[in-house]
Amino acid sequence: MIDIKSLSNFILKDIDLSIKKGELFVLLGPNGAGKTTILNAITGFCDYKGNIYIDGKSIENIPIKERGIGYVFQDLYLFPHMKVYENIAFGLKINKKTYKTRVDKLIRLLNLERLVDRYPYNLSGGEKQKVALARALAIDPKIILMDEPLNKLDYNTANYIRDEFKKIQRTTGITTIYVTHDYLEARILADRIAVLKDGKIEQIGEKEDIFYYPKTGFVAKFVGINNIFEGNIIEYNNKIAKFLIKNSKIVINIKIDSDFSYRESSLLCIHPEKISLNREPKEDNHFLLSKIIYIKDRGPLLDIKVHIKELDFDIILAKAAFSLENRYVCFSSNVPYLIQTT
Amino acid sequence: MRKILGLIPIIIFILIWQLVARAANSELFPSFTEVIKEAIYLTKDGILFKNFLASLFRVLIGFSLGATMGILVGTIMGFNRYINSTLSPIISIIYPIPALGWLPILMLWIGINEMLPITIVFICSFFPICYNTSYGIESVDKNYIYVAQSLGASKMMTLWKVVFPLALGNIFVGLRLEAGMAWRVIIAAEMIAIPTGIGALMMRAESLVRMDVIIVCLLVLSVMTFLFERFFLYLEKKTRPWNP
Repeated sequence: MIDIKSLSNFILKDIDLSIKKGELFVLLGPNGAGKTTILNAITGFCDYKGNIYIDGKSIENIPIKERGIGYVFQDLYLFPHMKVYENIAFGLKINKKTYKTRVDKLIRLLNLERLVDRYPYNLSGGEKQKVALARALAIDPKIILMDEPLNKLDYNTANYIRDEFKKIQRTTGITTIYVTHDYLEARILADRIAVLKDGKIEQIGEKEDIFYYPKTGFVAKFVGINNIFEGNIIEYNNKIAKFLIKNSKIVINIKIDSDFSYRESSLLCIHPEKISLNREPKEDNHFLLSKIIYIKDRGPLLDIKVHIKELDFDIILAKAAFSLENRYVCFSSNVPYLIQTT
Repeated sequence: MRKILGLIPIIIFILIWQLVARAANSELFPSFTEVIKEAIYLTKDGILFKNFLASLFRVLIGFSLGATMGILVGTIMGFNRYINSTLSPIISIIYPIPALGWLPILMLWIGINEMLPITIVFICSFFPICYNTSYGIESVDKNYIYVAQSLGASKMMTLWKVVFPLALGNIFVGLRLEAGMAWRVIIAAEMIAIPTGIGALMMRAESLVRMDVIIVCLLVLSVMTFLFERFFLYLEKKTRPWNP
């Protein structure tokens, strides 16, 4: 559907991407990684080297207005001088004689009936967001690009709009590229994810691969794996490797099925949600914690930072599973995941 | 309440004027009531109305032409960088010349007839409105243009439906300021070179030492400047209802 080959410019460095028809593809990365620049290149708003193909055709010579791309900008850019209805109908008025049916359908789909006669300054953040989405969908685009559209909304509204959008995307089957710096949002929305850093793709893959098998320390950190330790394997027996964390005496047992060149320096990742706190030592890895540094209340979950010997560990626990009497930090040898750095 | 508060200094000013003029008892310092009496006389006599119409006609024609051309050229300049680069230097050179500075040249080129004050008002209006319009068009956030283009709008449609409405704020600033300026310039031009109009009436009154007539003319100028500026403020509110 969308094939990007060797895309480079002042930010991007040799980007290759292939996005399937009907896919909800997420570009994830920090500010300045080049996410928006990829969207701008697809739309034709910036110069680049390389090639972009939509349905097998190069878009180089296709004027912006004929590319059939719906773009929801980060700041939305609703036309302030047009009422909601006129904003949604803007693209249709230009291209079609009968647009009323389509606009009315979108207004119903996004529950905008009571807002049609309002100017954008009279809308809430969530309402503006829905109007921008309706406007982009109105032209019946082949592709929809969304540039961090929810980052200025409050938590509940963003959740609501995100769910609505995902439903609409699934119903319409429209190919979507969604830009975000929020890994939780990416996790909720994505079919596949590309993680970007400094204009390059660090990793691309199914969302489970990105979250559970990151290929670099940057990706691991960015997707919320806070327990990343440098070190190396000192022993390997019966598919269990012993990993010594650098500058510490902590040894972690890791189950490794495949051949592993264990002399090399590696990064060890432990997902915070796969660690438990128990009264007694359990699992292949268990450590007595020396102190709890903090506990952050996140509704049904707790973010806990504990200190074990020389190191700090992040743990995410269900509130019901937490007790101050549980002093053992435990996780199975299946949990740790190794990233080779050399 | 706020409007009533604004009237208080005016009333105090008139009272002081009346008292000082009575005390001075001089032809060079007529009282407020004498000025009003003269205004009524000049209106009944038709002199004031005739000269006012002459000035109004010149302002309306000159300003309408200047504003229309200014908006047109400014829009093209603001939207097309090549035309902007071509016209900007010449406009930058001519723009700082005061409108009345053209008077001697225009008197020789056009002669002393109706075209002279109209041309002066045209020059006075055209350049600032052109400049403000061009600036307004250029200042429109480029992302609105990108949005319009991605939704399928042609360049002309983008200009007409998106860019021009969003530039109206700046365009109206130019129109408001120059509507008042047109009156100031026409009065000055009539005082120097034209035998009819409010400015010419003031010069005749000056030669007859009729301070009351001069003040009546100044009041007319003040009211017209105020009304013209208010008219464009009203028009702006009507054409930009989205601006809260």
